[in-house]
Amino acid sequence: MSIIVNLDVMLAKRKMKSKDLAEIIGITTANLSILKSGKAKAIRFSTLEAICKALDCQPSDILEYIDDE
Amino acid sequence: MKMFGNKSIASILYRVFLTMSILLMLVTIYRVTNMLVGEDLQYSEDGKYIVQKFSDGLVYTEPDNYNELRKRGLFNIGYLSLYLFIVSLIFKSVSAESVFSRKVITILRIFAIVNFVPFLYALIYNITTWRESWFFEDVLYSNLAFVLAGLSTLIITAVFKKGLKVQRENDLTI
Repeated sequence: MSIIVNLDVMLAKRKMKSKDLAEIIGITTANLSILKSGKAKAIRFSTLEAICKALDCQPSDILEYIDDE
Repeated sequence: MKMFGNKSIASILYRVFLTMSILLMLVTIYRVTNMLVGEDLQYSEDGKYIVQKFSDGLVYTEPDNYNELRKRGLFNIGYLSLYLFIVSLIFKSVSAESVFSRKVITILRIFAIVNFVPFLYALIYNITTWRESWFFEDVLYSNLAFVLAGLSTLIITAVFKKGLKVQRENDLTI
């Protein structure tokens, strides 16, 4: 998939655990894991907003487009 | 009362159709047993007709082939039993929490195929015993309801496939 989720990088920068982030933004760790692994089909604006707020970052810090071709 | 899910109309219909199919299966076994011991056909009082025991009550006028009569009777009741059993499976699978599943699609596909069986059976039978103008009378008209049910089921299957895809995408939307 050409959209890369850099959530791991941001979590490492903020020295935050996945479990803590899941608790703050109100989703399950299983769903956060799906998001981190890039298996998610879509992300809600509300989830993205909550992640950006929790990690104090911009959507572009989490999502990145890479041309496959 | 809700249509799908636990404690729904679908779960009641599952039990109803399953019971009906089991009863019909027992009748089929009874008839096969009678056939094997040669007591499935009996003459009417005047001796002119042959009556098939535990059948739909029709009286057949001197059939030239008893075995054909037996086969048709058994096919009809056995087929109906299988038909109702598959219907019960459809209701069972939609009684689950998640209506859209691979299981429902598989059962719907089987149900669609089963609906085409009488048409194909009649077609093959009438081709092998060829006579004029048989197609519309014996094959198409008498099996039109089954063919339409089969086609409708194929459309419903496609809808369920789309539904499953949408549900999976929704499940993976975080």
